[in-house]
Amino acid sequence: MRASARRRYWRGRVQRVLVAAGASFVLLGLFAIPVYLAAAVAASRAPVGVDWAHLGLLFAGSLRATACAIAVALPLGFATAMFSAHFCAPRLRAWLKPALEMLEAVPTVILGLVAATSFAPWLKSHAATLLALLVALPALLLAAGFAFGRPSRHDGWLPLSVLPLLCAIVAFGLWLSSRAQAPWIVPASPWNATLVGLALGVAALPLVFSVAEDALFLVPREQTQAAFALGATRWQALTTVVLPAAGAGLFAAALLGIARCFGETMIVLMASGNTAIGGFDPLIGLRSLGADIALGMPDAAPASAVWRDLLVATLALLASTVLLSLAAGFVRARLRRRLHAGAAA
Amino acid sequence: MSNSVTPAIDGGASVSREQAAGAAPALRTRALSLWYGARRALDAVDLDVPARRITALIGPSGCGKSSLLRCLNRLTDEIEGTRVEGEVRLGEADVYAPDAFVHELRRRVGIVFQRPNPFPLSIHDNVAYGLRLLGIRSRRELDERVEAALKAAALWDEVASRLDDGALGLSLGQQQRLVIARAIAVEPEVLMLDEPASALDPAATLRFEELLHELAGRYTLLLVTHNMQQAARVSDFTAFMHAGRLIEFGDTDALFTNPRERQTEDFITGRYG
Repeated sequence: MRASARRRYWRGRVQRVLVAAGASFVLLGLFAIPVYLAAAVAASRAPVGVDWAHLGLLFAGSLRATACAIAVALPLGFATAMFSAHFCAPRLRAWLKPALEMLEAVPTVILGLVAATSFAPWLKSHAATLLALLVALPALLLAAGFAFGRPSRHDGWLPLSVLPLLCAIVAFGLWLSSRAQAPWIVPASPWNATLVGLALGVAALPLVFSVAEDALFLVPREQTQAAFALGATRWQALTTVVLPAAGAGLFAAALLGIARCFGETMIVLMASGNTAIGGFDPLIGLRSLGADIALGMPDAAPASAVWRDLLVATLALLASTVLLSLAAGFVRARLRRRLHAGAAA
Repeated sequence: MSNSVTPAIDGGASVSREQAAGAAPALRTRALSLWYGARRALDAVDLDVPARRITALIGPSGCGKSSLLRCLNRLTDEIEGTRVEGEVRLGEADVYAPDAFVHELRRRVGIVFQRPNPFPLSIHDNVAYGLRLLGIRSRRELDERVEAALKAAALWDEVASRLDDGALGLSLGQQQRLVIARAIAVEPEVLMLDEPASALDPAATLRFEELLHELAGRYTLLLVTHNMQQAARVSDFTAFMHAGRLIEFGDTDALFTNPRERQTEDFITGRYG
């Protein structure tokens, strides 16, 4: 009896240390990477200073790609999250949420390939169609909602009936654009920020959706019930109770989405054209921090000025994404505490 | 039994009680059945809720009391997989008519839940919530109606000086009265209360029951309670439910002193439940 107690005691000691060692390796890595990068930058005694102008262009390129992608990912991600958390029939949600989150696992090289090979040539001649669809789709959907959108007990399954309508509108738009051969807007290059935004937006969508959905779903049921009981419609309950309560979570979702887009390399590499051009035009190409590092590193001689500049770019990228993620984590933790305090009060 | 406990309401009530029994009920159900998926929660309930009286719903846990409340203002619509059969009439209106405006219906039939659930807003904005849903924007009108509702819910004196403070800072008893103020601010015809005092301590419960008496003259109250003494103390009429069926409904005094059904007698004498 005493022998087994002693054995358990010694085993516990070893196991504790093993687990702690695993955690400390991770912590070490977190600190070691930036320290290593900074030390390598300091150690390289290249004769010329850092090319800040080029670095600025790369930073601006990453920002422009991110802005275009966020313009795609936030509206789609938030709308899907609102539907899934607040309107969706539980049986539909049971597969909608995992399915969307699985999209996260699609390798970005596949999205990049589709964008670069299939979508780029289409976009070059149909930028005006895309713009027209962007305006026409919401307008037509609003009109359809006004005409046929009588609320029903089966609203939780509504996407299944809206989907054919959506497809029909898009198909009609594409058919119309194939008849009218008058491209009013011609991108300077088939590889441009709009193309990057579309592909990158799809890549960031699952993350934005997932974080936003969690935040919306966390809002205590008693509060939406109270709103319903006072005569709120679903939409009123969403805007007056759920969104104010979960607003911080949506903000965190946006931050994480921005961090994701800012750090993404493969899609930008394949769809952006990789020319370092400044400006805000979404129809011209760009070169991002990540793509610059991936393209430049294999040819850069260690300790050369180019090599050092690439390390500085890496540090900038690391700092930006880590800061964004930290901010998002902070906002989410605070939100969770607040909502739980509210539910317990 | 309740005569001795609540002389205030029973003093001159015998005449008006007969009137109430003869008058049109505020709410009427006919053969009302409810299914959660394949499970039947309500079984052909026929109930007439007398207008401007307190009606208590008693019965063992899971007998369908709360389900019945949720059917009456169609909160069951918000639960996937529920099915309702039969008829519910609110005054003349058919609650389950295909063209009924559910949100307007819910304004007319307020509900207060077991746990007070104020929004994480100020005291004022909690009470004004339903009014704003109705499109009332005038600050003056909102203030007047918030004050009236808080006074009716016997909370005004305690919060008048701090209307802009967060509602979650109030005590549980105050929160429950705030939730009542929120419900009556939109002037419902029926106010349903689902075990509203079960989270309160004895002193707060006593205050709460006094409040129910004050509200009874103006609203039709439907009170679910698992506390039989409470039902006997506060209600004019009592309905006893068991396994989804309405077993017995009648004058509270009569039901508690001289139940017609064996099951009712077993329940109120504490043989089960």
